[in-house]
Amino acid sequence: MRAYDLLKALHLLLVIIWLGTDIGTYASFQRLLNEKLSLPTRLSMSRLSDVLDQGPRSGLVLLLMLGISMTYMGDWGLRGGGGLVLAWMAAVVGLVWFAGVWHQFWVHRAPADQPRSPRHLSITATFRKVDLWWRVALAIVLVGASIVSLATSGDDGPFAADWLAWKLLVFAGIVACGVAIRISLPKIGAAIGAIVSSGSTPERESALRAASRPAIVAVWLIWVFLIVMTTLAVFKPGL
Amino acid sequence: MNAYNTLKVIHILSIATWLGVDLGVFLCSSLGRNRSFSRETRSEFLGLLGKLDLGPRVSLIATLPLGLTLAHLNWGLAASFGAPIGWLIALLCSAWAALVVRQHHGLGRWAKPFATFDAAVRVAIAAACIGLALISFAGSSGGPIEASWIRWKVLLFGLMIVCGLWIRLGMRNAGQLFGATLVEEPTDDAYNELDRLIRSLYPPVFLIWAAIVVCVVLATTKPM
Repeated sequence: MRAYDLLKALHLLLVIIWLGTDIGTYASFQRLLNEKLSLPTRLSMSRLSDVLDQGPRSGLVLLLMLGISMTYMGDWGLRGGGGLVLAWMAAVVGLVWFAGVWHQFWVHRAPADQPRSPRHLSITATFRKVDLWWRVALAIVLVGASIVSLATSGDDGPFAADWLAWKLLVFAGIVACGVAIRISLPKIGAAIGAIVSSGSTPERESALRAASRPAIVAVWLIWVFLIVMTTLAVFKPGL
Repeated sequence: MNAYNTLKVIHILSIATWLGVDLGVFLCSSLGRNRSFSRETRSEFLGLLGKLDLGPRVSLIATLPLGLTLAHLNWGLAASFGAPIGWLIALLCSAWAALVVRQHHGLGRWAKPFATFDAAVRVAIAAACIGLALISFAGSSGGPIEASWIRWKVLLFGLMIVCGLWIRLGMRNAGQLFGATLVEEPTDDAYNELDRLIRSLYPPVFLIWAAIVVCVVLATTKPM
């Protein structure tokens, strides 16, 4: 059994967990928006949504990390001298990013009367800013690398296989959708905060729905992109 | 090859709506028993559990015709699973899945007969899968399933159905027990009994998850 095949199995399992838990995240978020439910119930749904959301959050980070390693190991690209170095760098950066995602979750999950220490709060605040800009930069790099690969042939671009270049272009779309969701989150949080502090009114509920709409559309797009990526990986068109 | 690849994509997606969604079902079952939540909150978690559980339930059914057709198209499943029988199995499984979805919304007087029928079908499929895999392993000329990794997958699929039946059998009084925790003032005994029941069903749930993971590894690495 080759290491590449094992990574492929892990890669597939991550897609499965990502898409599956995202459906749960979406379903519980819909109940958070349900104004017929009591506020404590809606906030509990939000808790469930947050826990399940760790599936997609972790999936994105680990998939990219594995994908870069598999590109090198499977000879699908990164054929220049720096391929191995890049694969190792992706693994290290991916693990640090993954740790940051879970640290952020751990800080947010602290009971209201026992918040995490100021040091952890500060680390999370810094991570949130870095994470957002890192995702923007990553999306741009992925789009650039994919376009260069599609425009050139064989070893001239970073990715030798066209289907892989397309896959990474679609992945960049997912990263961009993630950025859109992150930009929506403070507005959603503020709308929920207004309902918690001042009670539910049609206007406040409407504001919450309006704030959530871009994030919901982004989630739908992510699902479509994931299906497209799976299709590209299975069909490998152009091979 | 296009039909094979298209079915393969659907097969992968159906595993996502099975294993991934089942993690949400598991969390809901835990939150639905959390005593610190109000009756309404627990009830909502259980309602969500019921909806999400349709994912794994329908996916299991979908896996059967998908897996059989994929094995027939590319991996030498005996020709008896050719197109007409393949279509018949797909049609029957579609009707079965539709009834499972309908069951979630209530089948009225058909609820009990359907539950019996559903359990009988599962027993038959589990027996067929395990039998088919074992015959293939034992057969000197290879048996109906040529590829060894598919034999293991079919065997595991049969065992997953057995685990599902184990859960179903254990859950036969669950409605009553959940109901006892959703009354005005539930007793500690009601919660404890429900906790005991759900915990006793962790082994088959974890076994199903482990079997799915092994099936994914087998499908990807195709050993032997």
